[in-house]
Amino acid sequence: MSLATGVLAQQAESDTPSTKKESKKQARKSRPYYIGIGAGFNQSAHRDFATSPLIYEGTMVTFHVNATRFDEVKETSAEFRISTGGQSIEIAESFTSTSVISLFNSYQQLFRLNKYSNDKWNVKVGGNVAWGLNSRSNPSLGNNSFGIEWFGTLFGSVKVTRDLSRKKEKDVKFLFIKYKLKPLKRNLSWQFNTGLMNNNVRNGFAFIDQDAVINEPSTFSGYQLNLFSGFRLSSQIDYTLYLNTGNMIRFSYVWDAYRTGNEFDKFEMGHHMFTTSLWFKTK
Amino acid sequence: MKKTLFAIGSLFLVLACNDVIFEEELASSSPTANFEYLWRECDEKYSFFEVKNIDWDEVYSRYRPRINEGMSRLELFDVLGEMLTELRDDHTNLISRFNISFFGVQNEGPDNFDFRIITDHYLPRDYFISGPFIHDFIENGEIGYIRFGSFTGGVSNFNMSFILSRYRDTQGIILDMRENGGGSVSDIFDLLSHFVTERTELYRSRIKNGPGRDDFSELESAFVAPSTGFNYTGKVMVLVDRGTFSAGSFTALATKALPNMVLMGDTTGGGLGLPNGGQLPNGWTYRFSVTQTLDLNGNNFENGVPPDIIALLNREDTSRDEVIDRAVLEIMNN
Repeated sequence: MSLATGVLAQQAESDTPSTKKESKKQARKSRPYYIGIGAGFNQSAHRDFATSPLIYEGTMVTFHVNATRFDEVKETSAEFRISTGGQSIEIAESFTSTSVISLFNSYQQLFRLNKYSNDKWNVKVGGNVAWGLNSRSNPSLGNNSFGIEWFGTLFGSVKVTRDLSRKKEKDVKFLFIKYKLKPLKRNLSWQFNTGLMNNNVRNGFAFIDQDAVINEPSTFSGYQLNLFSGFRLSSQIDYTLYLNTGNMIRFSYVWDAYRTGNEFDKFEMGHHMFTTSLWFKTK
Repeated sequence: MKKTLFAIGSLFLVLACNDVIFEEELASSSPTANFEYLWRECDEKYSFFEVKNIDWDEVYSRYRPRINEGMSRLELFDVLGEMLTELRDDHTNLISRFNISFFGVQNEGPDNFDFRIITDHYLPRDYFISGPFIHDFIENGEIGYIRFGSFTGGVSNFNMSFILSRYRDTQGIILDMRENGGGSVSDIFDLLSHFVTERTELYRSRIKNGPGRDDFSELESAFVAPSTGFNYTGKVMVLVDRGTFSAGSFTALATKALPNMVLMGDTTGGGLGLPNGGQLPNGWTYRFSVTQTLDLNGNNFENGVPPDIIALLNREDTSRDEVIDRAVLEIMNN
């Protein structure tokens, strides 16, 4: 009886708001924190109906820097990514190319769905805020050669992770060679994001502005903010290997595609990115 | 359940392709598709149909029957280029790797400039070349003559101050912009900033902001402020002709707002609309005007800025430039 009373008293004590806050803080602090850097290539395509009905395609290089704090319960992460390179179109006897720089930033928070999670599976849901811009230069388009557009998206996200770790040492025989596979921590995850609020800032109807002829040069004159315009989807698959040091190596495939809505001239862009990244555990 | 979820996710990943986002492929060599695309782009964005009294629907009805799927690319280029020529605007071109269509507005008026006459009979053999300007004293040192043949983007505070301070004690200056086909717009203001003493409104401009004929932005004023270098306040005769186009015409239009400048010669070639740039489904590119520029009284001189004083070259006398002679007379009489 006295034991039971003690447990109840302990529960009551742990339910006080200040204790809850404290335990949340401790849980946050105990979550591993990683800094990641990665590089790869980006097979991308875009079409800007304001200047051309043609789809420009090409392979760009991509670099990214990430910071993430995560465990089985919660994941918070931020990313900065830059892709740069050329895209082109060849049709009949015409060849046209454009140089592209794409910047991408995102911040996300994901929380475990206990109902669908266990030792092997971890399912998290949450939100992701992404913003970025494209800078494009296509000299064959005369005064319309330079284009910049900005995109901001609020995503709804779901992430499924499957633990593929080898818990025990395993004896393996390949032909006549016998060897042991050591325990290894690794997982495979897939994340899907769908745009809930898609916004963009794009050029006006004529694409160019008249600042040059009125002697008031400005990069974004005539640009328009379009809220809830178009849609955006992205998904990412990561294969992550944990090293003995606690650091990680991650192989990723990212697909990110978006298009603007019912403005006069739509814009479409898609990226297929393959990257390898190193993640350093800082605490 | 989880396996199903993961399987669905993986399936989507496999299917993750840009076809979800991209609309249908429009690249096409079809003459009909390219004709329709070009005609519609002009229909919605060209800025001078009303000013030039062009019935673009009537143009469609004349040119559409000339398009057929069996025609060669050269035949297609000819028809499309000819259709654009209907706009009578040298800011309008169809551009392929084998040809560029154009209107040729300079041929709408007489040839009004021969630089050889000027070098033979007006300038000394060792005339000055400062950036894009050729210049020296004429009329026994009474007048400074400045030849400005192209807006190369090379007009600078240094070369303008050097040139104008050299002629500061003359009776006046002749700024010869005949056959100046334009170029860098920034040169307009770098040039004119040396001929004002206070911030001055030059003209007004508006840009297409919708597909309708009257869909334009509000008019915005172009101002020029005095340069930080030497500014000339004496009389300036600005010489123009049908070959004075685009940035040349903008400058000619601006002189209407500058009391110390007099426009002389022939009507300019126009080109007071900023050209855009675009691409057809077959990869050819094009451009046409998408803005309008008006003087401070609301006049649209896209068909050519008229001179204050008409003066034409007599092609039979190759020893004199009658336009310069008239400008000299104008300066010396004031």
